[in-house]
Amino acid sequence: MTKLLAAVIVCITLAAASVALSQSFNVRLGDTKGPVQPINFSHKIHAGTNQMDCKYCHYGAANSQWANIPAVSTCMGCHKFVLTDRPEIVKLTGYADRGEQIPWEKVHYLPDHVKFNHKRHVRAGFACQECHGPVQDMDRVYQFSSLKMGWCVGCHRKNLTNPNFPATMDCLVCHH
Amino acid sequence: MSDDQVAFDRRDFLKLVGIGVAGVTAGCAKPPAEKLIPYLVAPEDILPGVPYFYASTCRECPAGCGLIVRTREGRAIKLEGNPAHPLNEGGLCARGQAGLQGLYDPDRIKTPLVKEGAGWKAVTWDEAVALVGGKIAAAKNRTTLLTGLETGSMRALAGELGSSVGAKHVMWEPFGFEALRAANRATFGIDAVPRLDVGAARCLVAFGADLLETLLSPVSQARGFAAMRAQRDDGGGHFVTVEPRLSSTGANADEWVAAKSGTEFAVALGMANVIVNEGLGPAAAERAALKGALADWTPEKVAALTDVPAETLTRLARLFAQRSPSLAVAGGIATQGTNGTALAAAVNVLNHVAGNTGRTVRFDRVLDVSGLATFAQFSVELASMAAGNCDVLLVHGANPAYAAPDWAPVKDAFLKVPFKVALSTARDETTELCDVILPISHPLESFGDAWSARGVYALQQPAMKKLPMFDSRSLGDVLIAVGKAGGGGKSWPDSYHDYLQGRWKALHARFGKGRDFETFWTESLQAGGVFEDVPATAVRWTGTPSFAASERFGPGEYALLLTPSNNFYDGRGANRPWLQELPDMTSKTVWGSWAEIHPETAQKLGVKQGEPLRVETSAGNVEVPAYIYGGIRKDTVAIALGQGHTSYGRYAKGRGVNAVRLLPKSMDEAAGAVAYQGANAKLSRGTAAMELYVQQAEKDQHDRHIAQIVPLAALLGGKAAAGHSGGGEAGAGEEEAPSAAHYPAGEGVHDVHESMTRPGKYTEPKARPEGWKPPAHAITAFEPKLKGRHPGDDPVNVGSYPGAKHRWAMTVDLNSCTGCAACVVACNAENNIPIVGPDLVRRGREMQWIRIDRFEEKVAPGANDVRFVPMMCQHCGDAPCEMVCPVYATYHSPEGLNAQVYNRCVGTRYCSNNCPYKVRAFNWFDYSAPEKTTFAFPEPLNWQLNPDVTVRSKGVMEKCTMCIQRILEGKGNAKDESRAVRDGEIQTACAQSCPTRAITFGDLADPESAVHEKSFGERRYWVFEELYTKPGVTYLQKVTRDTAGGEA
Amino acid sequence: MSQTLTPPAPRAAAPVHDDPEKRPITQASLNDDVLKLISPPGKIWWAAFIFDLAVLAVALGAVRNLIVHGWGVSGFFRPVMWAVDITNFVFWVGIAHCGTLVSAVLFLFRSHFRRAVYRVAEAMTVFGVLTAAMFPAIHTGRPWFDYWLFPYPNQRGIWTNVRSPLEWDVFAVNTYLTVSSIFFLVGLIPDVAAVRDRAKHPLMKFIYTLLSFGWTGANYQWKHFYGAYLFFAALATPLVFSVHSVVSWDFAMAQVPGWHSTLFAPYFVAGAIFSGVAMVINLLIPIRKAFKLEHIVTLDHMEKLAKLVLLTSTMVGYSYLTEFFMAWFGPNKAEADLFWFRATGYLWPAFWTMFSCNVIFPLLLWFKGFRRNMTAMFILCLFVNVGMWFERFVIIVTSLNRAFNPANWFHYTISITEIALIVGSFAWFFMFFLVFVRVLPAFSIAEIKETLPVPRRGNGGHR
Repeated sequence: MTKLLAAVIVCITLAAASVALSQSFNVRLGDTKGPVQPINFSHKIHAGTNQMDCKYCHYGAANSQWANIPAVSTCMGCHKFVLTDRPEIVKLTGYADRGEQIPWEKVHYLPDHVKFNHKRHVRAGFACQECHGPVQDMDRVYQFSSLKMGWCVGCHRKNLTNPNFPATMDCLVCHH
Repeated sequence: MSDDQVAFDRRDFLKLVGIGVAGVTAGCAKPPAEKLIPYLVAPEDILPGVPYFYASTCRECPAGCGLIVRTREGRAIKLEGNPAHPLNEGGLCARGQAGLQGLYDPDRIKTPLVKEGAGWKAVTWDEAVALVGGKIAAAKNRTTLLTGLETGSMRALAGELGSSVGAKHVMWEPFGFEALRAANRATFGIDAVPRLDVGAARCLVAFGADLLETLLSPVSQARGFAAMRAQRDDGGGHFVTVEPRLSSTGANADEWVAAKSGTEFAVALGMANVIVNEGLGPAAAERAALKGALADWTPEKVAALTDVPAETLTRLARLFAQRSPSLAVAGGIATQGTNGTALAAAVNVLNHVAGNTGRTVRFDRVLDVSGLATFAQFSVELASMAAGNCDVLLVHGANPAYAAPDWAPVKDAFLKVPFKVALSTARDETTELCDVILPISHPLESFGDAWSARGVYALQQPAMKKLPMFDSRSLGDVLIAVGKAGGGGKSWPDSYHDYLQGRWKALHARFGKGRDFETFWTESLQAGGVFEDVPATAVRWTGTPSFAASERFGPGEYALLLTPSNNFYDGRGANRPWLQELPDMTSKTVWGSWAEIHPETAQKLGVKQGEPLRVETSAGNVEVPAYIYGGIRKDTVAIALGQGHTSYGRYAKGRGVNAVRLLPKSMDEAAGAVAYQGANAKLSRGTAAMELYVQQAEKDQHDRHIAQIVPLAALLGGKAAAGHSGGGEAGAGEEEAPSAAHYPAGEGVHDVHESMTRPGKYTEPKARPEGWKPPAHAITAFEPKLKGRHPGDDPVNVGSYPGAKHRWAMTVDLNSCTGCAACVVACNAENNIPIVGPDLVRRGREMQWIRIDRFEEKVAPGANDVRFVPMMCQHCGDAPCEMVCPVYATYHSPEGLNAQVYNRCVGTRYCSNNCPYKVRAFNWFDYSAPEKTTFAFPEPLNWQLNPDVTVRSKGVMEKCTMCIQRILEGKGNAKDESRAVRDGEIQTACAQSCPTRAITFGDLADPESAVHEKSFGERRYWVFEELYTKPGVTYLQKVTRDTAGGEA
Repeated sequence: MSQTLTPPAPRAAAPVHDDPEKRPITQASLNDDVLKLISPPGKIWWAAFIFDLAVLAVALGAVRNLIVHGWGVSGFFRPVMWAVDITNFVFWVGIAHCGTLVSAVLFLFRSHFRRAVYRVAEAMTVFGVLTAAMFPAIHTGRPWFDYWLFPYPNQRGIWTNVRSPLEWDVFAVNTYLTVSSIFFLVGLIPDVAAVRDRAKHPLMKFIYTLLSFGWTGANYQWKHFYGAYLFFAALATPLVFSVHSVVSWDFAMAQVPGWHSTLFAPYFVAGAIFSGVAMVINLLIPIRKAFKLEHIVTLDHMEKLAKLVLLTSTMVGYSYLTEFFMAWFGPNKAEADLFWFRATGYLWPAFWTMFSCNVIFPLLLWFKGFRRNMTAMFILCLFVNVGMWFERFVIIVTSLNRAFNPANWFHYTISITEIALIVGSFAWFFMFFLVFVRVLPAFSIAEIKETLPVPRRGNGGHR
């Protein structure tokens, strides 16, 4: 009888603990493959091999709360001339000629009640990689960080006394 | 950016699906399968996530105020006043701001339509234009173009259309200021309406003039009104209103003179008579002539006629003459009656004998209403149409089928004219009568200009690409197209944009100052137009008309009063949900009509509040819910116009009644205007079941001291400062609480119980180290009048949040607030506040974050005391809501804001229970879920949503955030330029929109800021200060003028 | 005393006595009398049970609406953001109080009349708390996030706000539920053992075996049993006062006129005991009648409960009058207005129902004849419970309805949903209770036996 009781109690404790743990860890999204994109664009080639600055295409990152997805015209700026015969580039040219936007798959998901301001972070001197991971090594981009609140708060707490750009812990900064 | 094609692209949409628009506070929702759709062609100067502003012009009423359109991702999301515009100087009224919902009206016309039997057939633009053009060509000079008031290039284009294809241009407005113009023709020989320099007047007498609601240019007049009320010299800024029903404008008056309906002119004459006979006022040449004309309008005779005691007349007359420059204003419904012209002329006389003509009554920047047809002329046109003298009728911006009385031959005319074309954005009653409907782009989508006043050449530019779901074209382009198809307009360019530029070449010649045209054009677009100072036209007295009172007519013992609505004007605003849910400033009702009757009348009829009242005239009858209102004469019944549409979209259709139907055939012959006033009505208890949707039922503040006043005398005596003097430290007057000056007559403070002032360790200030300063979030202007048991420095002031620099705070000056509710609409637009509909509002579930509480201390003839209190979250230093939230969904921010985190809110509603101000709104239903019936933003209304503000979901509490998104934006801008935030740089939506600048927002931690000065200045008080919530919102008492004992 | 555990052989029924009150109790007959309740139920029971479940189903439908459509389906509005939901919560917490009082406090005071009635009272406590706890859970706007009210380690790094009285509730109610259940189960051990020994069905036998914790009636077990029982009684006693005080602070800590009062804690505790005892009486009278237990739960027992009702009723009445006196005497205009509104406003029926049911009618209890008339007592206690429900309703709704700012004073109208919630809460409670009387000994055999003469060989007691 006492054994049985002990068993019951242990089970309950374990259940409670597991709930707590699952909540308190920042579970990184397991998949490091990322979604398949309509055009097989490789950040590895552009940002890695060719050393292009992220902000060359995502010019919004430093000047707006949103980092923009480059327009087809931005791609065509180079690819009108560069490697025009490659199959993926042909796809791209196809979109441009048809006057169609490219339906990129969304990689980084942030709920709508969270307002993240790219400009503030970039201007505070954070490298894109700190949140987006080694994009220059990614053939296909995947979500590197959990983007959960605990993850945000952790970094903010670290930078509370950052001399040039002290971070804040005020909820209103992201939730309004 | 002059080329339309380029203008196109830079206003192109970011098609980033559902950023902010569909945003809801669902907890940890699964990522929906989303696609990122980037620009096809990157616009060179547009960044997603950055707001862009375009100057334009408001077309919601004849005034034509200047606009600044805030756009995000190519969507116009908010309208604000253009500070550079001479008319509104940055303010914008509720109707103007709601223009945005005309653009995003879900019931807009989608494509050109041609009537087929009972239904409509969609056609292409080419077919439609060809069809209309053909008809015009065939009509040969038998075409009529009917529009509302058009100025500048559009009027010119219409004129040229007339000359080239023989189309006659008729401009008609339901409220065409006919009487004012007639009177000015008669007395000054000018066909114009004056500009009222309200600000300069030391005594203002309004004869039924709703100068703060719809008269002429309400926003600029409101601005002037605030300046007038700010006068401090003894007796300055006295405001008397003469009208049978205390209007929203009149509610702001110091004294209400309840003259019989239609006899206001006699009051003016009586006052003039006294002034002339007592030799007050300047000695002008015309005095002799006037003296004769006024001879038989003795106070006694007038008193008999108007039911206003002779001594009141005499007192007012002396007041009016002594406090020069004074100003008498005729307008509103009083000038739309059988005696309208008489009143307008009488007021001219009064102003003239008091020497105000040319001083406060100025003919410089006068509204351009000259081209307007009077109702008489309009009827002639209708008659000739009915007689078959017109083959093609083009209608734009006029809705005679709704706004004209039944006896005007509108129906006959429309039945007779074989081919009628509606150039319209929304389907209204007139549109329904037409054979072809051409969907016209909203002014915010098209180029144009408005020379609405002399010296004002305002431009109107598209703030965004045309909404893709509506295949519309701009009015100008359509007129040009049909004109050309009709065989005319050879000289015209193909696009109205080019035509406009052609016209502006002339202005360039005048104002170019050597710049080339492109520069001039671009700069004008940026500035919102070209504005020049015009000298006042000198006016001389040309003749005194003879005055005769025309009696009220028709069966019935009650005077019928139909008033233009503060929310809907003549009804054109009725399809804007923001305006429908904006409580009327007098009755505080929404989404419908009501009839105002005096309590005694109600008792006599046995009608209670909200019960059906049957109003019957010789022309017809309606049943409306009764609203019992002390501010109306016993012999009068008033109904607001603007409701009762039979078409005009889901928000307008079938709400309330259209009281125009009650008008018997009668006109103000001298002016040729419809007489909205002068008919009698029978009242009886109605039978229909109906609902009165009241947003504020209780108008007595039960001496809770929510809206406080201070007599001017006390203020001048300097006593008002006692109790709340000087800077942060306790002033000398602190001890003698309650200070009589701070709580003048009838404003006694709660009794001081000994326990509240007992000395002891609780009242001893805590010992602080040398030079201790409270952290930013704890800075407060609050100074308890009673040394309470709560010390000034309690734990909330200590420690937490190091490094915060600002304490955001607000002041609301009740002396400037006119209760116009522009702030409410501004807040709706800025903060994505859902519209919940009549039934929920009636049940106390409206979602507005700011509301105008109306408290009626005294609404009876004589000294008048109605107080408006804008009530929003007070952002308390010791907030009752914060301490009771179990999950920290609401908490105190480092910058002193009382924050509300929607996605953390569980919805216990405890915070609202504990909030003394009751300013928290709970999401009773799901207003943000498209699949729910309660969805508040049907496409394309959701395009208006502000992406910086989360759309709240079911079950969460929400409230005023002091526009935190604007604060963050402002701080961001300051950071980008690595400087401190400038005072006044950050403005909340309500403060920005306020026409009278009654609301001031700023940083209390900055001793230089305006809000700091006001928060520590005179007249300050806090609502429910006895609760020690330390509000961040400081109210400034309303200043009342002594009425020298108006008869009560 | 420790050997009545072998099942007795069939024997002649206990001698019939014409006055049920006077039927003799013997060690054996007591077992039979009490344990006969634990038997396959008859038609009446099933009818009651199925009806109960049907009502409950309706209420669950209402709850479903609340969750799917939001609380808009209720009659709530600003400023009345709470009404029936919290009224029910406080009402049932109040009901729950009596149990611990009767069993623990009276146990410590050694007042013997409790022996016959405390089991029912304790069961009522546990089920009452189970009912009460539902309402804070479903009354939130987003019930699926209720777990945020519990302080648990989470990745967001947010704790709960310990300043909030609602947070205190979470702890108070859970503590009370835990302790009262343990107290209930411990008290059951010897009796359950007796049931176990009679149980036929293997499953039932297993369950009873679990609940009796291997009870054999050995002497050391009795020793430990009474030790533990005393311990838990001592542990539970402060809760009687603490829990409802905390609940009352939900209101007293807020500054709403009519809530913000230091009187609330004692006032609520008295009210809780008042309604609780009334509920016990309402439950006991039918049971002792239906199962012919008048000789076990005697009129004297009932009369003592009645006196308890009378006492607490006067305390409650005193509180009412104090509130009005303070409103009249104190400087707070808003509060004065509110109390005037309570008695004369549009909600006057609620107020006067409360006042008459809780203060005026109970005056009848001064008469001995009334106290000993079970029918009259039953009806009176029904009234008391109605009155006590309205007390909470009046406190919550009228106070909120006339809060500080007159600008949004509206009229509250109750909605179907809320009525469903009220009825449903009773259905939920009786679902438990109906099962309880059939599966667990509703009266404490062990404790009653202490009052019986020690059995001696050959006197028909133990054989």
